[in-house]
Amino acid sequence: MIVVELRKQVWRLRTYLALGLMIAIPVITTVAFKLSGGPKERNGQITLFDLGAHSGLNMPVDSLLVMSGFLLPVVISLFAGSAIAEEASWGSLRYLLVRPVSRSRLLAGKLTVVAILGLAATLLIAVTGLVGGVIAFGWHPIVIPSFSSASATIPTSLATLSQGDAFARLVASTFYVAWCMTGILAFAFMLSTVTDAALGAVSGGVGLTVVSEILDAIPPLRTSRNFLITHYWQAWTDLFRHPTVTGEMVRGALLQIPYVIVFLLIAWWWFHRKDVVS
Amino acid sequence: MLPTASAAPIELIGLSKSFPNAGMVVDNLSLKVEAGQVFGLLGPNGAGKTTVLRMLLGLVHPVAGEARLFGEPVRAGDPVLRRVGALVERPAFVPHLSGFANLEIFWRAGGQPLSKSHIDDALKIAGLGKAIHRKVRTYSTGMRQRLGIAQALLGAPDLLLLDEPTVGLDPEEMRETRNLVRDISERGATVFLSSHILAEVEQVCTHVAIMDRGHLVASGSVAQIIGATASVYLEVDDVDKAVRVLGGIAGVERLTREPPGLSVTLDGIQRKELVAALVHAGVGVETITSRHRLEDAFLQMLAGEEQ
Repeated sequence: MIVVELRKQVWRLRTYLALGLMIAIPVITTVAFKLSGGPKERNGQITLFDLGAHSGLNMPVDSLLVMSGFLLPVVISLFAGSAIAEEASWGSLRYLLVRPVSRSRLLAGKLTVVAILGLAATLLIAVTGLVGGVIAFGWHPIVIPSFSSASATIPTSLATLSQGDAFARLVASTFYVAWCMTGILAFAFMLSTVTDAALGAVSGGVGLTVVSEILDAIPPLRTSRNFLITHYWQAWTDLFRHPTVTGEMVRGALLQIPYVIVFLLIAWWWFHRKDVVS
Repeated sequence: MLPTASAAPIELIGLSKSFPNAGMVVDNLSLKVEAGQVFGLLGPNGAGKTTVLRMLLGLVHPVAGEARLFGEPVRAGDPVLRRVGALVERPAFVPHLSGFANLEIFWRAGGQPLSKSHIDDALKIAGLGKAIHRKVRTYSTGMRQRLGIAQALLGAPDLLLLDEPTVGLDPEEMRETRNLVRDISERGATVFLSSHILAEVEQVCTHVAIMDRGHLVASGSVAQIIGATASVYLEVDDVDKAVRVLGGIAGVERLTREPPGLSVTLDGIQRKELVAALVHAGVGVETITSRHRLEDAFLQMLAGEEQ
């Protein structure tokens, strides 16, 4: 089932374009940094993003920063939202379901392929950023902001990480970003079982991202923001500060679990009782 | 109930289905299709034919009753579906893949390699030549229909479910499809098809069931259905006198003026007796045409339902 689903998804222009975007943006970012001539300060402060030209290892970090807030969830929503709904709109879903394959297995196969594509999209950002960064800026120790304490929010100086340490943190960050996408992936996938309009399911995933990020930007919501699906998406940047803190990353990773479980249970329940009339 | 070797390929027991915005579309339908039959499901649009086919395949869940395939209650994804080939409503494929790739992924979705299928026979039936390697989105309606039938036959099924199998085909392709259905039947498979083209059903089916608004109106062999409502069309030299003469004969169920002649529904009387009575009364009979057509039976039965 997974091979069958992979074949459907991989050999199509839409997938090439979506994954191509995951390559193009880091390349553009790298070129832009190269042409702009190195780190810049903003009002006397150095941010993680501004340190891109210090080392090739900084570029994948910048690429993940640029992509993980919106473009990556759009692409994830595209893969997940169209998984079932698109087949329903083509009419081919009913022919899949007349095969001696349980709906659970079909759902699991499609979900696995969506997860593979989502992970591939995230890895492409990091790998392209790394390759492009190393070519443009070399393989040097990475420069990161340094703070006076773990809770401080304004950097006071710069610190360095060795290449090996930076690479390990980059790998962890990449998988954290990929994991943070699972909530949106599960939501768009759930919508895909409900509607026959793939665009609606994709828009739902994107919509949840946008609404969550808007709500997250409203300070009076206080601690309730901690439960928003996007709240801890950027927590991985704590790996690239001195001193390093990981509390928010752990909370962010755990937060996705109830979202994923609830959305996938609804998807499973709905898909099993669904009358396939398209 | 455990399936038996002689279990009917299809058995519907009090099958009912309603949809929120459409009400009851199939109402307490009971039907049995025996092995080797070519069974036609007839009915006007909205009769519930496609819903019946979908329930038979586990695509749609009945609200009451049960559909059985080879004695086993139908559930989505059941192994018994391996014995079934289907063309439901219209053929549908992954548009960005070729016809061949679509056949392959359809088959492999069932967990078996393509080598276990009857791909060569299917390709012959599809008759698409080199176009089988073109993307399906470039196919005409007829090409898709042929590919859909080929797909249904990939597993050399014991039961073939076809929903309007000749829609979109040209006359030559329609004839080929009829011949194909006959061939499949002769190989021992059971065929259950729905169609609006009654002449086509009459040509290929051994048995029929007529549905209207979710109800079963009649079912039986084609001969029984036609025989139950046999009629003739007469052209005579004096229609008024013919109406008077035939109106007094036992075995004439209904007389309808259809200028320039009249239609006579028979109930047990032979055509030769009809002609003899008219000639004996001095009415010249110019032509007598048998209208023992399924179409007439179908329309009369539906008219009976309306009343």
